[in-house]
Amino acid sequence: MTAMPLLGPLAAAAPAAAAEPRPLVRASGLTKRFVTGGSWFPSRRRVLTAVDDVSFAVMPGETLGLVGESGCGKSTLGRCLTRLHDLSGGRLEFDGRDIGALPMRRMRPLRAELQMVFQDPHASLNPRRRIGDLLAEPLRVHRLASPSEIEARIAELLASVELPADFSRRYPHELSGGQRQRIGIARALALRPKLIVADEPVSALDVSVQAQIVNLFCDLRDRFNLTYVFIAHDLAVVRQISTRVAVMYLGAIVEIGDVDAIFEAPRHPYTAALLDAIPEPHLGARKARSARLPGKEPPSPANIPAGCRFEPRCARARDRCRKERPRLEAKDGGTLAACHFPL
Amino acid sequence: MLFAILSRLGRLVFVMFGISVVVFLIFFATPGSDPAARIAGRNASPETLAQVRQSFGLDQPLPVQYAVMMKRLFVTQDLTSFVNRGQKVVPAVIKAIPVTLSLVLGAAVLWVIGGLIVGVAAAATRGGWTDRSLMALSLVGVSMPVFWVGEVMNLLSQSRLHHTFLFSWVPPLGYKPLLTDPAGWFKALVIPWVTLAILYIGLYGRILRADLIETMQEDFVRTARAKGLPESRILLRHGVRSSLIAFVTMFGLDFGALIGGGALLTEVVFGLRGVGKLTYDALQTLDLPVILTTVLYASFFVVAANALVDALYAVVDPRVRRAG
Amino acid sequence: MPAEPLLQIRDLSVAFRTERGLVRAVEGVSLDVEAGRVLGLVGESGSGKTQTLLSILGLILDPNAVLSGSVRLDGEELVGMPHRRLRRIRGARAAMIFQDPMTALTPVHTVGWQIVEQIRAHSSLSKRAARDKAVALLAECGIPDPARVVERYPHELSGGMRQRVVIAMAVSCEPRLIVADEPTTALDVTVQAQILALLDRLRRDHGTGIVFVTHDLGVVSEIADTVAVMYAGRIVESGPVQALFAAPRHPYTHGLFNSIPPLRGPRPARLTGIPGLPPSRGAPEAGCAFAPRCAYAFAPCAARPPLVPEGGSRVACFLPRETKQGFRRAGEIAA
Repeated sequence: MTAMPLLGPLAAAAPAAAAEPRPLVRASGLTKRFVTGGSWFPSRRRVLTAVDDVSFAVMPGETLGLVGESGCGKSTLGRCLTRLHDLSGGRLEFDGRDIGALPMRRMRPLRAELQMVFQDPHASLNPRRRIGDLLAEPLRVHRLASPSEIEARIAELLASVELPADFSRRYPHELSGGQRQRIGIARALALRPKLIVADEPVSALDVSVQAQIVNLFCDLRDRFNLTYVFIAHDLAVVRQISTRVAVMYLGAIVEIGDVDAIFEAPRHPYTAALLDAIPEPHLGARKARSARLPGKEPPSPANIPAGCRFEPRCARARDRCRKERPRLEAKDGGTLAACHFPL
Repeated sequence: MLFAILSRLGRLVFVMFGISVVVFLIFFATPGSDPAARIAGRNASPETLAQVRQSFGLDQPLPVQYAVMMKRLFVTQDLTSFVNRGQKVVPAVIKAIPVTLSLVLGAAVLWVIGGLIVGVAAAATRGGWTDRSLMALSLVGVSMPVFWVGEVMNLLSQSRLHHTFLFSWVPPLGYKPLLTDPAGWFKALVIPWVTLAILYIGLYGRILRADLIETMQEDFVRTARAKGLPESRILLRHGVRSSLIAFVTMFGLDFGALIGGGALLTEVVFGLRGVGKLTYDALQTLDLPVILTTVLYASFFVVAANALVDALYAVVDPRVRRAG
Repeated sequence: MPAEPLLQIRDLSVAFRTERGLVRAVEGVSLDVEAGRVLGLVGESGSGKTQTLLSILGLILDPNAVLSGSVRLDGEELVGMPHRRLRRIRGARAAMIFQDPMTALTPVHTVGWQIVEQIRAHSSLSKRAARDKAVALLAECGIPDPARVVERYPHELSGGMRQRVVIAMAVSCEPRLIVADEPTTALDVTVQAQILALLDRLRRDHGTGIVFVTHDLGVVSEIADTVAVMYAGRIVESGPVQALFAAPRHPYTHGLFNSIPPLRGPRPARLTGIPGLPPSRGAPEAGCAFAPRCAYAFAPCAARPPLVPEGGSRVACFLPRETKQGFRRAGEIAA
């Protein structure tokens, strides 16, 4: 198959009225470090670079899938985008405003436009309060509905996540995992956000329920003109929902591009290895593996290699990879990849 | 490892310094009261007051007063009580230390062993009659005030049943030094040990039972079962070994507090002249130099016990080791 | 007459007495595992797959559990076997691998200690010899520098390494059967591929039979020879992996396939999926448990469908043969 044109899905998703689309999110050089230990002895301090000099943009209406293995920094990046984490460096723009260094107090009004959905909504739903109260709370805090309107708005929210209105009288523990995730989504929707960052929203769910929630995400995107950053380790789910995909490895984006280009012709060896490792039920047989990763562990984020960060596990690595860190740049096929010797 | 121990010791010295400063300030710099009057005791004559001012350097600035105080405590060790005229405070405390140490160490051995047995036996028979009766007994043990148990013990062993074979070996109340009379030391302390330990056996048994029951639900216990190990081995080598954190934490706190004078009631009831008794007497006569010394002494043991617990954590749970 | 398979489960049922009556977690499950073969046991939460697995080794210890049926390992009946004898089989002739390698190892002992413990529980090997064997096992399971890793505590190893340790421990007494409960679910895909390859090699080298519980059909296609799909405590479809994957015949199996987004080919606008929720309280008294969620449900579904042979598989569904063959097409589009 020939290379997919980059424009296809992007152009379809962008509203026709917008003359010159401005990215909803623009990150440049975004960095997040965690410092552990050494409160008494600076020599024992360890610096973990969870997100390392990451730059990308998300256009309105687009869904950016963020994939990678555990510990690659995708969740941390998601939390940086919603400013649940303070940034250690870099710039972050949201809807044209620089929010990277905004103090928490001035972030608060923006919170409404920038919502997050988590893997386990159970942990974030107060077990002693009814669903109705939980949904009303953000409306009251942000004064988005008068007391008389609140009830109607809650029913509307429940309807939009395909739950009956009488769920507002239930408690979180009375719901199944899928229903709780619907409540988590309804709560994010309550403030009519522009961007939703979803961190592994379906990975705790059963396969059949997972499909329902993935469908719901797609429906809501079309209905409310939402933009998603969708973080997941399940590449099939990411392929289903995303328009573009960013692959993270050890704190950095190693490949980013249109979803079909990435899945059909990955240029970065890590992306290829990741795709190769997924067992596919639809094949109905053992998959022929080509690019299996050596059994080596990924290096620690406290000790990122000076050259290419994937070099120690890469079958294609050469001398240059050890010495020079590759930059994320356009390769033919439409994706940007950080690799000296792309596939 | 050496580095860890040194940094621990450094921290210990630092904390001790902090405590001594706070204690000093409370005694010497509380606004609106004259420390000399309090040190001299009730109804002191003007001459005594003058003497106190001079000997504690109270006419000099606070840091100097602190230095003088510390010097008299640790270097010359000639801090003198003005209530019990001429009594040297530091030797009195040093004399009381072996008594308290003997009492608390012996009781600690009893309660650790007893607590382990009660906790493990109860958890192993969870829901059965052994469990239920052990828990009922431990509740009784926890609820009995130590001075009441002590008095009952004394009543039985010193008078009512003293002539019977049961308690005829019990010596009169008081302490016998371990080095000169080991048998007497042991006989004199057995009943105080038991009295002091009863409460803690109940407490520790209950804590361990609860932790152990929780641990036995863990995945690794299921793994141990799938390995085909005998149930007793699963309980002891996998269960108990992994449930000791709370036990050790409590032990550190209780042990430190008891050594530091918390065994006061037991000491008073059994006529043991330990640190608790010393503090008790000093409080009755408002003998400030003694109180100051015992407070510092107590804080030392609480801090030292905590350091010991941290070291024990590393032994009990390897996950703590690397954190250092 | 064919020899009895390595593991033969017949009409296994597990129920739990609760305040609200008996909950049937597993109902009438029958399975066979041949030596050197892998059975994939597929199901969502509450399908009874884990309870089936635990009951093979007699590891359901809940005093309110009621177990019936037969589990035979190498011709020997395990259900009702005295505790002491069962213990000798656990870990020796049948070993288990659990889902979460983070919690499956005792945190306070080194991994070497834990492997040695199992070896010495089932053999008279000396401590030294057991230790050497532990090192060799770790090496066989692909752990670099095994002589150093035996001295490590579980928390010092990564998830993938810990799962290798768990597997090394499971194979330490050369078991005839390994039962594995979602052993790769908690791992990253690249690590999962390595672990699957390791299990595959072990069963080929040692002729071990494996029961592999998972919710991931992709993993099943990767490792299993035969598949059994469970729903609400019962097997709804079982058969050789190729036949079942090429043409699923039960609407539930079909729905599971349609719930998984494809990794290649055109992307469906919406996933077909399965409406509704999996039942939370085990198998119902009567009728097909899947009927409430089934698009094809009709009058006969009020009775319980038996598991009957059909086209190389066994299916528990009353639908006419032609309807079920229609499922094949959907499966093929995706492939």
